[in-house]
Amino acid sequence: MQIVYKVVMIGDFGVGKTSLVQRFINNSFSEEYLSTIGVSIAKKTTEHSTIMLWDIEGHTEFKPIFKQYLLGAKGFILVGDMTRIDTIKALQHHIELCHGIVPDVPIVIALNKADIENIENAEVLQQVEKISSHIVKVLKTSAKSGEHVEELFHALDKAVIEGL
Amino acid sequence: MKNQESKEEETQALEDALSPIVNKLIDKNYETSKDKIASQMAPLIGSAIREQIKSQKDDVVDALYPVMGNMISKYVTQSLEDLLDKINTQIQNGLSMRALKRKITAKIKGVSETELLLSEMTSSYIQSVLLIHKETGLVLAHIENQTLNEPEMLASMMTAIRSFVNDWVEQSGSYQELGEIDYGGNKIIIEASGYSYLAVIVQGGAYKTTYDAIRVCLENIVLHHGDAIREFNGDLSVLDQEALKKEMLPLLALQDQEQLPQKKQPIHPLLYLILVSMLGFGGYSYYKHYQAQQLQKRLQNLLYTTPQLTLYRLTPHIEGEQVVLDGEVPAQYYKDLAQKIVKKQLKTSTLQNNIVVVQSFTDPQQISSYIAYLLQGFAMQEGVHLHYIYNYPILTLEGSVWNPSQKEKILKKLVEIKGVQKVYDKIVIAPPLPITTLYFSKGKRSLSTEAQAKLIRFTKKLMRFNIKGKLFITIYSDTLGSKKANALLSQHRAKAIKDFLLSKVRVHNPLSVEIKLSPPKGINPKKQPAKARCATIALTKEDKI
Repeated sequence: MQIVYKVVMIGDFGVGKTSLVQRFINNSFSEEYLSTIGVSIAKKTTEHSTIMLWDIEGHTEFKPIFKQYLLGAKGFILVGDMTRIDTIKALQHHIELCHGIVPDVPIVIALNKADIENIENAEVLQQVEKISSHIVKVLKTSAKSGEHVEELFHALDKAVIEGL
Repeated sequence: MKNQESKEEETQALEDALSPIVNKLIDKNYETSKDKIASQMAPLIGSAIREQIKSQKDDVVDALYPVMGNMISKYVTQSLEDLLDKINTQIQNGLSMRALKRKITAKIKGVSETELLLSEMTSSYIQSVLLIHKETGLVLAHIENQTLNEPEMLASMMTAIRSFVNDWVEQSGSYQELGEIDYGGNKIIIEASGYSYLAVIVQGGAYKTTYDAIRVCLENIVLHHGDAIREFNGDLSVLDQEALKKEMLPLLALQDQEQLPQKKQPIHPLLYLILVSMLGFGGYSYYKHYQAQQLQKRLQNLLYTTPQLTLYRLTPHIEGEQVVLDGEVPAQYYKDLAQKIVKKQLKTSTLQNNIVVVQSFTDPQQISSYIAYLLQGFAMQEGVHLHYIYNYPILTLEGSVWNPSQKEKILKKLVEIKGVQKVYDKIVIAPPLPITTLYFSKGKRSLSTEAQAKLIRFTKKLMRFNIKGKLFITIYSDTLGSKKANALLSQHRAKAIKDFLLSKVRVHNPLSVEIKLSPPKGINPKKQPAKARCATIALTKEDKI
């Protein structure tokens, strides 16, 4: 089988979506913050498949997520910032948005910036898993250190291939 | 005041002392940190140029002119050279089918051929063709002339841009799709269907033919692979890649045809011309042949239905532009008649009349009557007494003529008759037996003038027919008077004749004289005394006459 599919990274601005992609693709990290405008696309070829990663512009109060970018996705990576509780609370809204566009696809959640001092609000974190039955995995990640980044993508890859 | 002066002096001294060191430091810094200085200076340079243009525009123009002028002229020269090369190539292929097509198109559209030629010069070159899944931006299939880096990335980005533009346009209340993206001299043409779209990367201009080809290509893909594309869930192996590429290939072939005609070895245009000429010549020849046949038929029919010519087998032939008449007729009249009839029917062709006039009467009856006619003519001559037997083809002639020259003349004429192959000559040469009677006046012993004339005529006849025989002279008497006187008179008369023949007209024939003291037979001397006083001269004796 020659599998190729689309995965969309979703989360509020500055949660580290682009950094996670950079770590996964190039195994690199930059402290410099460059806001993604529109969409940035990356390709990762794994043993079984080719993943087209759509790293879209982060959600802000003034700018909603552009729904068209979600079309046809086979999986979603939702990212929250462990140092900003509102970004984690917003995950529920993002998941609803995803299901609204593409129902029944696997989702993995990255709680990013785990390397720095964070809120560690156990109650909030536990609730994240319960938002949707389609959540395959919730991982505390760090793009900076690379912690759980590989696992994050592999978990989604596996779920997508199984679901085909 | 003093304080101030000393301060200024100090500053001056300090400047003098530090200047060389600072300059040295700047130089050193410049040497060691060129990159850093460049990055620090870069934004300043931009601002500085802008400021300078704002205030001293002419200065900037003057400063850049030598560089910009050269750059522009170099670019323009290069472009013109390229155009010239392409035009040269087109002219070299001037007799190609495309050139003919261009000429016809120019006539139909009413535009100049040059305009069409220039539009061909700037023909499109299709670099790559990508079939992209509309929602996900995944590449379903792609073909390319030049290797395209990361087609998947391009496809995804294209999809993102397309989605963005379409959404943005939708918000403004109308539903319109992004058709193409231009960059530099190139463009990406987008042709979308329900679940997929084609992104065609074109170098140079794109023309109606290009768009039409793209549309046809997508239509074929949707027609043959629409269901598979709709059901696509990421597994590329469910799509027939080879078949998809085959559908897309015509687009690259389109480029081959337009951009690189010199790579193909097209059939030489002269071959087309030769082929067309041969077909034309063949058609023309067949048409001419058909026409000739029709004319020949018509002429033959016409000659046959002319009553005078029905008997004779006359055949008209068409040889190129000439009509040739063949056949045999017995007279010139028929030949002329045939020529007259045929000539009336001809418009442009010339006529060659090869009809032969053959005067051959092979009918024995006809030949026989011709012989009879000829002999009848000859019989009118003196001394000719002939009859014939004609047993085809042999003629037997019997009878007599007076002399050999007469016979020779007759035979010569008869041999000339066609149908007479052989003549049996049984003609006898029988000269005439001349006789003449001379009359004497009463008591006269000499010859009268009339008698002399008669003798001359008689002698001439002898000589003409070369008669050698003996001449018998017989003297008659009217028995009037005494016997003695009559006998003497008769002797004188005989002598007068003999003398005249021997001395005057000099005949060589021997002479014999007989004196009869009586009148000729059947003459009564009392009633016709003048007729009794006579003498006859003949080749035979009197009793044989």
